Amino acid sequence: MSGNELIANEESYGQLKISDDVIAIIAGLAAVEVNGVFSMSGGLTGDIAEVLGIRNLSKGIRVETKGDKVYINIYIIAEFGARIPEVAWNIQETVKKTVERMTGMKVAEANIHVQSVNIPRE
Amino acid sequence: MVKLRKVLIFISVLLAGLVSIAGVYSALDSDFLYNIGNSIRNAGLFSGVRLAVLLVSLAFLGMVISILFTFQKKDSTKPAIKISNAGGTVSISSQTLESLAKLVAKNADNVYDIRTIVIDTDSKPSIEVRVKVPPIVSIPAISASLQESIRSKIMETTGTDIENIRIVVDGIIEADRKQ
Repeated sequence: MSGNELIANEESYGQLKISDDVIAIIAGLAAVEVNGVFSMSGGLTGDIAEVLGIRNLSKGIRVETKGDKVYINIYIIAEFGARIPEVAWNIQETVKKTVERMTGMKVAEANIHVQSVNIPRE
Repeated sequence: MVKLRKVLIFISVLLAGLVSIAGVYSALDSDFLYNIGNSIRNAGLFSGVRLAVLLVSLAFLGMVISILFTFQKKDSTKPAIKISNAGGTVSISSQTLESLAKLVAKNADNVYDIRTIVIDTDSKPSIEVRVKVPPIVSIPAISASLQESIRSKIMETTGTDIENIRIVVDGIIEADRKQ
């Protein structure tokens, strides 16, 4: 489990460590709530975990921290009919705000990868 | 298709576990594999042992197919469109464009057996749509209409203009196959 360390403030009694997994969960929960997102796309490992009944809240999220900056890659399946650039912008804004509010860290980039579009059944 | 893939992956994981256990067990007990071989040799044609071997073999086949599906999926999730904005980048996969084009083509009249593929993803993406049409239709008219509909839908959804949409009519569908 990789993580990032930052000192909260001079008056604090120690350091605060937030793992990448926690940031991924925060980002995942925020991203899935955005209109136009059908689901997160977790790849093979995500599919296996789902088949085995394991709920993965960070599915479709990859987090990288460099210093106090966070780089987030978000893999989604879009809803049919959604305007992807708008959806992507909304995800970026929502994820950035949520992660920054909850962790105090700066989100440098939130890159959206639209893996597929959900085709409604007839 | 996604459910089938998940079932195949599940079988693969299960099998990998069983094979690993069998491997460890055979390392500990040198007669383990020999005894299994003997049991198969001595068993009747429709015996449980042979049926079990058959099932395991079929499951292995499923594992191979699921791996093939996985590779296919990886390739189709390759980004076809990349857009940069203030928040980062937005990548849209080939599969997304293919699904959109296919859905538009499905809703068009007189177009059947649709297959879509995104080509030339390194520079500008173009889409090839292979279809079959019924006899006594104007192929240029169907083609023009399809190109316009696909271009419009992709523009609306992704904000990107696909300049080259190639329609390939690769067959005439028989009258009794029409819906």
